Order: sequence, then C-alpha cells, then structure tokens
Amino acid sequence: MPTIIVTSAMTGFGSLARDSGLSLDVSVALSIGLWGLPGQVAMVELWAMGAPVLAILIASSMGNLRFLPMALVTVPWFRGDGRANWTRYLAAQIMSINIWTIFMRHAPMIRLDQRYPYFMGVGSICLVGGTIGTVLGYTLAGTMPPAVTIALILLNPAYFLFVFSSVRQRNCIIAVILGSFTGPLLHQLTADWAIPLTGLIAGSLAFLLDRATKKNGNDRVT
Amino acid sequence: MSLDLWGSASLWGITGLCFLGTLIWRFLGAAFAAHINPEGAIFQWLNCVAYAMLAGLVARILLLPIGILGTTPTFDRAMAMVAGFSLFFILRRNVFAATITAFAVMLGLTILRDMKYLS
Repeated sequence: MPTIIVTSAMTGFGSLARDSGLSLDVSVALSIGLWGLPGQVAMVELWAMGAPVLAILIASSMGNLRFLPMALVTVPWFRGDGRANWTRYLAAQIMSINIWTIFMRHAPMIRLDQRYPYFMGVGSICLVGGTIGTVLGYTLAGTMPPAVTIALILLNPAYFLFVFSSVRQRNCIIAVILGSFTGPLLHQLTADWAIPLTGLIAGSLAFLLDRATKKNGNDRVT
Repeated sequence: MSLDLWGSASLWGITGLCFLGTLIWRFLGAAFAAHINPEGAIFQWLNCVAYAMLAGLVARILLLPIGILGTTPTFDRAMAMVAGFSLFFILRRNVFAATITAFAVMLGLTILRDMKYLS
C-alpha cells in the first residue's frame, strides 16, 4: 500500500515536472535527492515561473522543513543498536512521510537491532517506487485522462489524513486535529511559513492540552 | 511535447542547491537527536510538532490545492474525503478501504463533471 501511494504521488510529480519544462534526469534527481514532495513541487513551480535562485532555494527548503522534527523523533529509536553514527544520517536521508508513519507505529514492537534494517528496507522499496513513478509520470504526461491524474493526486493527501487519523497516542491525535485546522488558516496569512508555524503552534498546544488534562486524572492514565 | 532527457548546467545547479536545502533539516535532525531522551517531554513535544506539521500540510493540500487539483471544486474533494472517512469509521479505521473510496469518489465526480452530468 505505501509503495502504491508513493508511486502514484511521484507519477503526479513526474507529469508536473514535464509540463513545467524540466528534463527527465533532473526530475528523477529531485525525487531521489530531495525525496519530499512539497519541496520538489515548490522548486519546479517557482523554476517554471522564472523566480530568482534564492527564492527557489528558500521555498523548497521551507517546504521540507518538516524533516527536522521527523528525524528528531526517529533517530532515538535506533539508540543503542550498536550501529555506526553515519547510519543515522543515512536513515534521515531516506526518510519520507510514508516510511516515518509506518515506522513510528511499529517501532515499539520491533526488536532494537531489527529497527534499522526494517526502516531502510521499507525506505528502499518506497524510493524505488518513487523513482519508477517519476519516470512513469514524466513519460506518460499528457496521455493520461485528466480525471485519473486528478484522482491520483488526491490519493496521496487523502491516504495520509486517514493514516494520521488512526494514530493511537492521545497527544498526537490532538495535534493532528489542531494541525488540520491551523494549516489552511495560516496558509492564507503566510504561504511560506504556514507549515512550520502550524507545527509549532498546533503541536505545542496539543502537547500542553494533553498534559494539562492528564494531570487531573493522573491515576487513571497509564 | 518532446522528451527532454538531459538538463542544463544551471538547472542542475539549482537542483543541487535545493538538495542541500532539504538535506540540512535531515542532517540537523539526526545530529540533535542524540541529545533527546525518547521517554522525555521534549520527545513527546517534538512528536506533536511533527504530526501537527504533517496534518497541516495535508489539510492545506486538500482544502487549498495548487496545480491541477486546484481546478476541481472544493465540493468534490470534500465529498471524496467525507466518503473516505465514513468507510474509515464504519470499517474500524480501515485506511486501505478509506483511501480507495476517496479515490473512487473523486474519480467518479470528476468524470461526471467532464461528461457534463454535473455542473
């Protein structure tokens, strides 16, 4: 399922890249190297508009800022597994929303020494799927019926919203609900900073709300 | 439209810069993670921040989409998500069924609009 999602999402990116006048090699390099759709889309769209290099760089980088908190909560799961430090950075590079959500859900159930192989395994499969999707989207651009393209593009955010809605920890559920409202609202005020701000505001609020309500019923919460 | 296989040097230059622009967050995250206690409050807070960021991003894409998805009516996208969430809760949080439903409803509505059955 995650492979289907990432392949279809990158198919959407591939056709966007083709329509924007990018070459195939750069499109694939973006998918593999940036490995984060919002940053890729920002780069492609601004480049097609002829924006200055600095503007492209900042927008693309801000689009992928979410990898910072994601890596911060992923890497501690590997602690003490005896692997070299550079494997942490490799894991952070291959990380995407797909792998992250799967891993965060299963990591507590996986044996410590099995976590890194699991993460890299799922990550590699997704990366291959994403690469195939990019090439497919690029070569098929314009030949697919628009209705299929539209439904394929919707598939990706829809899937993640359902995945986030099945999160089990209470503070994360509150964060997801608050974030869903804050994100679109802030986007209308500041497009570039909306997502990092949403994370900070809605995330902190969810964290505090969860703590405050837990204190009242401390005996019942395990 | 011809197949454009190889990019120019300037395009590759921007691509390289954008690669570094994303790499820095991953790198900083992995570097500072060593100082975070997985059982501590900071870890929980960061977890909330990550989830809120992702949910905000996804909600923004669904409500205020850019590109080709932006050409579709909000009503269609909302219907697809309502149908998906209905199945999601009926089938006890079945992500697969919900995603397929949202996809099918969106596909159906878009085709109906193309054929002018819906205006």
